[in-house]
Amino acid sequence: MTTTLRPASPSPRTLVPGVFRRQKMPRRRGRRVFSRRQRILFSVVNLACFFLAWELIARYGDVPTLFMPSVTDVFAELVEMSEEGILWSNLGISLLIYIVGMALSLAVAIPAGLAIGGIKVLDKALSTYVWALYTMPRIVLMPIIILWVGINDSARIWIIVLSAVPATLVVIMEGVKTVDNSLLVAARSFGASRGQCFAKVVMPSTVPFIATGVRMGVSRGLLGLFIGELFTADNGIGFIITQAAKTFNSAQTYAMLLVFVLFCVAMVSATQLLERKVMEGRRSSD
Amino acid sequence: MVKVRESAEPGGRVLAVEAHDVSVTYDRLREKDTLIALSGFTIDLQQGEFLAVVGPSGCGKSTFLNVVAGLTFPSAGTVKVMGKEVTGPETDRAVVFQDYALMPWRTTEQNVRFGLELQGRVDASTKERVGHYIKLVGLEGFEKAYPRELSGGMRQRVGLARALVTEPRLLLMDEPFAAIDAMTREVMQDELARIVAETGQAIIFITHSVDEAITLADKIAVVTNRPGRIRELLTVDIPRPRGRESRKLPEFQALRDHIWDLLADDPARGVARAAGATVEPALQEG
Repeated sequence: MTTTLRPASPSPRTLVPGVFRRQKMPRRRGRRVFSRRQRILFSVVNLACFFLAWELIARYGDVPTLFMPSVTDVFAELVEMSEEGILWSNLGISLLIYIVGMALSLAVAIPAGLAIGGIKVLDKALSTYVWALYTMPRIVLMPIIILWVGINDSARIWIIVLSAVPATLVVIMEGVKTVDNSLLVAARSFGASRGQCFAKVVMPSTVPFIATGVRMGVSRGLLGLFIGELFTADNGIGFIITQAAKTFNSAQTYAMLLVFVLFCVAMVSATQLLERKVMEGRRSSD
Repeated sequence: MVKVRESAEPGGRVLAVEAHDVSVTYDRLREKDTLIALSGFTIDLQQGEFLAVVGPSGCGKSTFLNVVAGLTFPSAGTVKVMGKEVTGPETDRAVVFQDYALMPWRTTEQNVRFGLELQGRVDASTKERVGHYIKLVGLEGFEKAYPRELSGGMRQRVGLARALVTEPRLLLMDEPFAAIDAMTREVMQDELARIVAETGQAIIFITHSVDEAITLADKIAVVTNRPGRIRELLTVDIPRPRGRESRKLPEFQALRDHIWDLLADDPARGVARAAGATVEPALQEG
């Protein structure tokens, strides 16, 4: 590119005849940055609008209450259930089952993912099954699980595990394979053993994938929890939802759905936070 | 020949590197043939001597380095380092890589101690030693920086410190400055000359820059293509330190011309020559 020195004219011509350079370049729009307070305020207003719209439609719209109870009814139901203790005991049970299921899932999926991804023979032998399990809708396993363990809490845990494990597993498994080979060569050049290569190179470079895998597992596990409670439980949030729906108690159905959604959001945001924490220290070197 | 560094070995008997008739071939599965990467490499390197290996891309010069490092095994011939046959990576050698190969999750300090950790040599004095070499490569103040926060030149300084801190008797450098911009590259060459004058190990330095080789080396092996063999082993008699000024010396220019002639006279390029085409060496200037 050539630069010509010339006194700045008010509207300098460009090299293309007839085209004048703009006086001011349009300011490049960066991404808008919101402060923390702004973000919270925005969320609150957003939610308030949602509930307001719901209330207005339920009240003045031409929708039967059975299909759409008003927000106030739903919240009244929540308060009542909370006072009766139904809400907390069932929420507690669901949470406990979920935590047990997820702890088991991660205890299986993380080591298995690292092993399958890192050991060629295992990868060749098992990855087909892992992908098959990952791809198929886990709900079809429910009848088999009931056949095996019966209708009880362990059935619920089983479906959580079978839902969460493949999701976590595939991410970690593929993550291990992305390890930069030049890092492995560098480690070997210092005389690293296979075990050292794994501990000092493979493991740390897979950490972001483990975090993502955990997040995937957490959301898949929630699906498993709900399926389990629909099919096999006599308590838990999912059970109350089905019961309420069967008895046409729509306010209670909606109330528990709301609780379930909140439960899911809490779980997923917690893991997202974890993931972000991990990623912060770990952007790639370029 | 100008010997700037004294032999580290009492009496200087044991050669740093003794490569005898080394060949490396690869069986190529897809092409169903055998690629000869190196053929009949014979080189001796004294303690504290600086050998540069110059040649076009793909001539097998990096393969030779990997053989000496113990990362690749020769299909024929023997390599001895410090009088011992190479059977794998050892603590008496350290490699500096073209792509730096730094762990992105480690800070400068942690990257520098990486090799020591792998060799199980971390003790009370490690921190001080790491600090010493960080200072030696001029990275003081960047101890806590991650590779992504450093420029290319600085990253390679980390790579150099990581190799030097293990106090190897043979330093293997695989096109260490190839990915660094021309200006920084000259600085790095000067720095390397300064550092090795201080640390005094034998060095094998792979490059495809003729000027770089002449600036740094005691001996230059000119390698030609396919199969990679040593065309000529040259000795550099230009007094040190060889700054930018020494590039204007007639000896420097004569040596440079001679090397270019050797490379241009590559039998693999003979066809182009016979046809009367100008031989444009496929090399880049330092």
